[in-house]
Amino acid sequence: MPPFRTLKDIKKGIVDSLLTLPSFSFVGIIFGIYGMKQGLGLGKTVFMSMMMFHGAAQFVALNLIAEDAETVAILIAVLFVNIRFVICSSGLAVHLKNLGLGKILLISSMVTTPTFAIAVNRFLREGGNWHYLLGLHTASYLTWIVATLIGAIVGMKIPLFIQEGMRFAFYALLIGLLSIGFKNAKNLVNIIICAVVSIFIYTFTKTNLNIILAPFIGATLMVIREQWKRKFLV
Amino acid sequence: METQIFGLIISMGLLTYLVRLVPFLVIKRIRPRRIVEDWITYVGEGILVSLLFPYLLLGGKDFDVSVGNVKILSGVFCVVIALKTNSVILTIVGGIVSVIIASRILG
Repeated sequence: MPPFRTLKDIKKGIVDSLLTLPSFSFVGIIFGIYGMKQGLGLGKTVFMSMMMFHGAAQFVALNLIAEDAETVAILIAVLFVNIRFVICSSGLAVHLKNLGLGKILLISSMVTTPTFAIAVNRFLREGGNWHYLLGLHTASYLTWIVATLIGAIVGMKIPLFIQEGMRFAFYALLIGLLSIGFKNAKNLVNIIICAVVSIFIYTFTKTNLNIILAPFIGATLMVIREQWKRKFLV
Repeated sequence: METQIFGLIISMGLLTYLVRLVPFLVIKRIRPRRIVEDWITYVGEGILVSLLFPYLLLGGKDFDVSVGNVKILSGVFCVVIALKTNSVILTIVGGIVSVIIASRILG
């Protein structure tokens, strides 16, 4: 029987996971519908959510699978979408030093951007707490799986014209995720560079090379530009 | 094909897991430098952009920036919603509804 304090911390994490409930359940349901629409089938759609637990990466992968993209291109695209988890995981890890390997293996498997933001906010006020994170992560993970399952089950029962509209859901999700970037001058420059390079590469190669090269070129140019500004304009 | 897809899903899952796990294992020794953090943020943003814009502008393999391009109209509508509300959920709902309406009127 874990001590009272432990249970209280887990419960606190579960309660905080309610903050992710609207977005995780909604996007999870949309992903379930989208998976069925793309012909992945119920089992594989839910399996994908269980294995990845990352909406944007799952949508990207599904889209590229439907386009018959090369496996390597799909994996690099998934890596690029996921790479910001490096920031989330390092942000959490600095608050949770001296954790055993077992605890690290478990807790790191469910890191997401929204739960990271919630947890860090609490850690800064109350200090790092593994049990709290366990409650937060597990509850959010289960929400995601159940939502995907619900979406996959109801997906094929919704009218055909709405299903057609669902194809656009992925691109609307991308726009939604980019909304902060649209408002920030630096990010907007990155968005414009990537858009131009991506369209250019796609037009001339007609391959998915654009989704790997454009972010790489955009990000590299941006950090060079910032380094240069720091060096000469400060 | 079935096995291939399962294999791919497992590979993507392991890859995602590694990206999440490695910082926990190395954080005691090194913290990512600011320039690395910036690069990571820009790459994450860039991939969303490079998936989005070719689809909106080159859906039919040729440039189509006409008023009749349903995807561009709905895309612009989504940008407005995203900027006004900062909500991913409302942007998705708005996108689905606008693409259904626009394709009924224009298609």
